[in-house]
Amino acid sequence: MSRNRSGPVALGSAPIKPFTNVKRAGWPKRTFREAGQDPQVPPLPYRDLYDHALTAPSFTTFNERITQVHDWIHVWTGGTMSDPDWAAYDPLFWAHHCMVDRVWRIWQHNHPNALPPANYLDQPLRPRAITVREVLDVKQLGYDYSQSSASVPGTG
Amino acid sequence: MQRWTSKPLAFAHDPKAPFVGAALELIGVDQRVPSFSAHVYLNNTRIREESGVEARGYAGSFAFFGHGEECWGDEGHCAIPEAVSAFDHRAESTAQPANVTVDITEALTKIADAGEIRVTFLAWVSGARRSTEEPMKFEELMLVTYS
Repeated sequence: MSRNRSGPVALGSAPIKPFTNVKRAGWPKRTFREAGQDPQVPPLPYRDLYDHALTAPSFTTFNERITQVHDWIHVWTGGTMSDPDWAAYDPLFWAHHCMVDRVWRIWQHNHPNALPPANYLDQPLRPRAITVREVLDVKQLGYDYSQSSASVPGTG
Repeated sequence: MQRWTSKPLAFAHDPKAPFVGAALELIGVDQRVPSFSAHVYLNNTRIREESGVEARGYAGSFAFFGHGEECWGDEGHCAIPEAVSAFDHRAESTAQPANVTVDITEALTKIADAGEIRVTFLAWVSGARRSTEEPMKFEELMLVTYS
């Protein structure tokens, strides 16, 4: 769970398979992307925006900045990723949100005592019976993000 | 007592991006062993059994609640159930290997410039300090740092 893997994510098209218990009108038959085709959207990479978010002195500022990066990438990718109703059906969505989660984790390391505003902490995260407070520490969720890793054979 | 020293683990410390956490992950620990406790030392291969937790390189300790080679449980105790999810790799049965994580942040910080790390484990079977049994068996040792 703590392995840190990175690599290019191929741009392309993938068939949509509905989640088993969710039926909604308007299924698109396939996901699609229009990556980088919107002239109004700055080109990748957005490293400087991530760095800017990491320098945020408070949770509120971090939240504003990381949300900006998050939104830019949805819009840069275009197609299904830019549609809030269906974005999660594009596999790229999960890689993207994993990166956002990772940057949030790094910011937490740099600001160990910083918390979201008190009125957020006990908000339930629907549809699950879990609150914001209960997801602040990813280790409690069973994973973490590594900076480096090395391994050798065990006892044999 | 069991003594085991790893091959060198490469470790490049960047002072401009220091780690804030470090851990050893024992991957694939055999659970069909007696319960044991272990001390972990970094870059001190000459550690002696009686050296204890004050010795140079001491990084932490852990206990492992082993299942034992034989199963004394009811029928099906060690049966491996079908996986709940293809992406959930936690051991669901004592017949499957488990993983153990040891936090070594403080000890690794002290030797961050060493370049490579050799890990020595001293392990004792629970309740049998003088046993020559070697209870600790695992497939892979991983050094992980967190930023």
